Amino acid sequence: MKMNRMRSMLFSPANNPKMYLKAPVFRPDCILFDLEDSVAFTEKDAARDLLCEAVKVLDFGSSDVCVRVNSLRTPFCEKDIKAIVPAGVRFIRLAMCESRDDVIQISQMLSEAEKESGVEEGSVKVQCSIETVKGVLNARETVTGSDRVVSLSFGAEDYTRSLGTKRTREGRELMYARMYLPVVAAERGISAIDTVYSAIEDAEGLKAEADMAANYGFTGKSCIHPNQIDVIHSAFMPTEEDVEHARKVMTALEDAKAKGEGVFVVDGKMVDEPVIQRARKVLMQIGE
Amino acid sequence: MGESRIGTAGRDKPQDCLVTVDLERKRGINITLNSKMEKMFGEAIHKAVEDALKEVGVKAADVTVDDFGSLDFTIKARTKTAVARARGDENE
Repeated sequence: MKMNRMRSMLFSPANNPKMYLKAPVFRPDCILFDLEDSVAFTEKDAARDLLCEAVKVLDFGSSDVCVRVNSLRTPFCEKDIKAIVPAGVRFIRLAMCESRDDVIQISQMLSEAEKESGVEEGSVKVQCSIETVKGVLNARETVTGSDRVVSLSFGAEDYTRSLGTKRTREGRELMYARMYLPVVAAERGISAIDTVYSAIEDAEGLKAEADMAANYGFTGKSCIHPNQIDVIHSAFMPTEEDVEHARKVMTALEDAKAKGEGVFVVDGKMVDEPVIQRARKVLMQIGE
Repeated sequence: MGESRIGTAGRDKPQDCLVTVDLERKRGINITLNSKMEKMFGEAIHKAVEDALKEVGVKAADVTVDDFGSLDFTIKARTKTAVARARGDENE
């Protein structure tokens, strides 16, 4: 399964025309156009129409586009899918994703939309947004619901609400989910995106949180302000030594394949499958 | 008296526009444009509205566009939303 580099996902309200032109300027790895919480109930139709017209004609440069669709438990989700698939959206974040059944349901919805618009089945990829206690506990099963699932993300605001606690700067209340979700993602071979850091002015706090998320095994982080992108990119960027080593591993792998050898050595150490996987991940993070 | 067949979409914010569509008109499309950029982009704005109406199958309507520096994709989107609202489509 191919994983694109996705260190940063910049939230952008889908009903604001300005953001379609502004967001790509800051070059996040991915722009996350939001049809869910940042759009008032009375404006869901307008946001959907604006998003569809924008993605048909605009070039978002080096940034991928993802759309956060409304939860399956709202009347908006099906309309979102029916509109955005023919418009050209190929990556969605499913809000409030709680179970394997949710993934199966959204996958069926996507298959129907793909069929109706003449798009190859399975083209639209899914990121499961895990943002409740139930979602966290079910995550390992949830991500197996469809091959469309290429990523999971963690949403702390709703999670803390469902846990019956509140968010703190230190984030101790998020520790269980933050340690568990990257493990789920790693087992499945998909990316894991950490929750947003809401204090826009607190660059130091953001850096500490992003470094911690990277240590836990997250591969990227959602953000709500362009100023947060560089800090996040530096936290999730592998070191130069990591990149150099990863390139050596991949070159040696090609050589070994050409010679028909199963085992090979890099820098005096035998290379096995986990080392190769890590090398691939490092190169993916820098866009190679 | 039937229900009103007027729909409005958009906002009076920079790079957005307010589009009002009245479907009571019997024949043809009549567009009233209020824009500081009319001399430069009036033709393009008219075309964006007409294209959007055609895409959603509207052959007769009075349309008012209050433009605040919007681009084509915004004008088309707001026109389509205004038509859907004028038709009474549920906002779901």
